[in-house]
Amino acid sequence: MRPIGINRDMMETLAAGNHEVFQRVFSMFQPKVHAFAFGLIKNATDADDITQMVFIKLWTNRAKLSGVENLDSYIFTITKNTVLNFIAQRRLPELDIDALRNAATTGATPQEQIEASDLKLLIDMVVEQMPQQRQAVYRLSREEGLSNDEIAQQLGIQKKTVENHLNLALGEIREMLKILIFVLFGWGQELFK
Amino acid sequence: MSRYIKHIVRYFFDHNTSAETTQRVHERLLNGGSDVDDALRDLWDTCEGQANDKPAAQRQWLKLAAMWVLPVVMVTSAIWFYAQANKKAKLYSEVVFMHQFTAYGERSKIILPDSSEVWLNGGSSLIYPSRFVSAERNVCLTGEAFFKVKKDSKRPFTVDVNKMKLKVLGTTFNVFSYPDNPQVMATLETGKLQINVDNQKKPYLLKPNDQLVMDTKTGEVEMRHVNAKDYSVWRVPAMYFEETKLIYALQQIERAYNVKIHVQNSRYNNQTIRAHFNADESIEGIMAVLKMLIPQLNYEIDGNDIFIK
Repeated sequence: MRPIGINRDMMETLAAGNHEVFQRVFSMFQPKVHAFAFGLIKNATDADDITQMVFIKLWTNRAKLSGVENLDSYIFTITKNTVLNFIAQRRLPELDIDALRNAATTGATPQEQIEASDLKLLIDMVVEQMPQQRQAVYRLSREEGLSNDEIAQQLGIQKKTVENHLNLALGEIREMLKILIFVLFGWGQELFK
Repeated sequence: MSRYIKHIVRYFFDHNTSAETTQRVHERLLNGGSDVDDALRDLWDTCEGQANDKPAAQRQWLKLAAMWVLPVVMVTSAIWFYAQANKKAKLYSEVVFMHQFTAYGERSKIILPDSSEVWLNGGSSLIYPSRFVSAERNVCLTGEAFFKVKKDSKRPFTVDVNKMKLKVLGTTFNVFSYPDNPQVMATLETGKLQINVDNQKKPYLLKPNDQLVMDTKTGEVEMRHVNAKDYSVWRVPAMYFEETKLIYALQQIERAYNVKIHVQNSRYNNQTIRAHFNADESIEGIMAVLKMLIPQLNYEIDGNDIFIK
């Protein structure tokens, strides 16, 4: 989204405190700021608050705008920091333990650990979106290590159904990650301990 | 640097996730480095401000389409408006939205496209269309305004304020709804006024000199019978406080005189006062009267700043 209509002269007048330019900047960027905040925070009221904070910060520090080359980048930076600060202030302390546990793979470099953790998170997000039975089948197979027979028995469904669910589930994950299934299997052994 | 962070961020953005997963993603964002920044930047570049927005349920904001232009008189203040794209908005594309804003210490009068008159008090904002094109004549208000609505039995006149929607055909009434005050008040002078309160099915019907007061914090609604003229006294610049808590009186004084009151001692905030100040009253005179009403109150005037000690 090109910020049409905001040139360097207007940035200067905005830095000097021009309200009309500010209103134009507001009209142009508010939807983007709000959408970005909402997508990450998932709460409309919080997104409103964050949007408000961003524009208040923008206005309060308007003098800095004289030195700004790219308004879009500048507003992105303010928004990103506001969103991250917002998240940081709200987090619960217990969650750090989870983060530590995920990095438990021995012998792996920090890079590999982060990637392994990321991959698990990504897969979990995809699995979460699956319909209930498929989710259940997937988790029993990959996380609990049950055989297809055992799963069929536990859930009271046909073995063929279990196989179908697994195929679909893995297919969805693969689609998401765009990597070959046997690589996933290789990682799978490692990750789902 | 992870290969997957971009996927995580993108997927998270586009989907609803459980609370636990959301927290995990948030943690990941906070622990990340430049790879997270890059991923967020990519996300930002794709935001058009349309896809994932949902209207905030509790607020009455005017909905604007991206192509509208607002001729503006905007001032540094804590009152901001949020606009969201909406399907209905396309109907209004040939209408321009007008925005009248009064700063603290000012008052203004607006003539609406249907010849209705609106007086705006300090620190208030009214959004209205250049032409009334729909079945309702609708405006949005933050702050305080006195309306003299031209009668039009075919098109009701509606005012959106925080948590309330007011509807009249032709009448005169006062509306009070500032963001820093949990009370929203509507006072009817002449005619008939119908008020729909957020989350309440049954509308309230006011007759002349009826006043509806809503506490937006508790949701409680109270109907009173008053002398309506007393509540539009601000149009003639003067201030009227009746059983008003000191803190709210101070806010009104700030707006009317364009001063900043620093409450360093909040002991007397909830004390109610009863006073009537004329238009030509000086700020020194007002503070002196407040001290007479609350003898233990100490204050200091330093130019445009007042300190309550």
